[in-house]
Amino acid sequence: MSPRRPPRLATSLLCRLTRPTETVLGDLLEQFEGGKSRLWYWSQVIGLIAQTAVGEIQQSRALVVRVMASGLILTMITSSTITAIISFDRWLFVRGFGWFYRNGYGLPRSMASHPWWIATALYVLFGWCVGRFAQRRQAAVVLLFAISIFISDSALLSYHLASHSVDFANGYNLTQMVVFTVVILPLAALFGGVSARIWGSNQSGVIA
Amino acid sequence: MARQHLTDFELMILLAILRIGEDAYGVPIAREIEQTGRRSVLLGAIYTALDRLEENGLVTSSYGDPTPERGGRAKRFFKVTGKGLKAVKDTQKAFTALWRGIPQLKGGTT
Repeated sequence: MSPRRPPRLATSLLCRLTRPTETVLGDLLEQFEGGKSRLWYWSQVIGLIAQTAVGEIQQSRALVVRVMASGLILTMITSSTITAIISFDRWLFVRGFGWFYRNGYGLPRSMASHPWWIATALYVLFGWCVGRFAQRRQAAVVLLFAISIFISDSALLSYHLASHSVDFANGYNLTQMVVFTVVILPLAALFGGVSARIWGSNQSGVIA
Repeated sequence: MARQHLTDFELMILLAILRIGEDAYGVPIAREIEQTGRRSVLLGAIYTALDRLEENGLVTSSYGDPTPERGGRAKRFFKVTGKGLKAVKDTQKAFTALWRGIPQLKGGTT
């Protein structure tokens, strides 16, 4: 009978987000082959990644500042991009380019009516770039970036709600906006970062 | 300055190593804490604590030979040092002193 294989994705994630020692990988494999479940394996891997990230964050305050600032700047860029997309057709008319719109050269209606999905795609892209180009402390960088997106977007939404400048005309209600802001968008950034590590180069070189 | 007393998790790890003896590496240490301490543990937490204990000179570690059931990876064995043993005794004394004279705990813990 061939030995059980641990979840490959979990091992890959562990090796590319942290630099686990041979000892830790051996202990995980031994326990898994000894009868522990796949769920147990995943929980151990997530625990190891979280602990590594927290340790790295505690070691470098400069990293925290840099990644948080990047998150804030990218949130501003995304917000401006979305605003520009939504108001692009109006802008054409205001600037005297109504002819373009009337002849079908405006933005597709689906783009203006689904700004949150465009934002989600942008955050996946940003997260991917952050995860791909992080040279050191990848677990901390990816996690911090997702946290920075969460904080920046929450602050931005709070500001817009407080200043009554939220546009509900696009068919999104407040609950949907909050869900996108505090759940979907940070998860998109996290997904992008993790994807970049999984499908990027193997820097630790210890994958089985 | 080094800490004087151990955390409860560090104490559990040191006691687990002492109970296991020669064969104390990550897997049996985790198993011992789970079975005796009746709590689930993360390997990452154990290694973080073990690294800290080694930094403070309370344990030492050495590598064994690679074994096939571990995918050819070596085990890291741990031993409690004299300083570690003293820390365990000091912590026990501190706990015993705190235990004494509490009316609610007299005649059992129920």
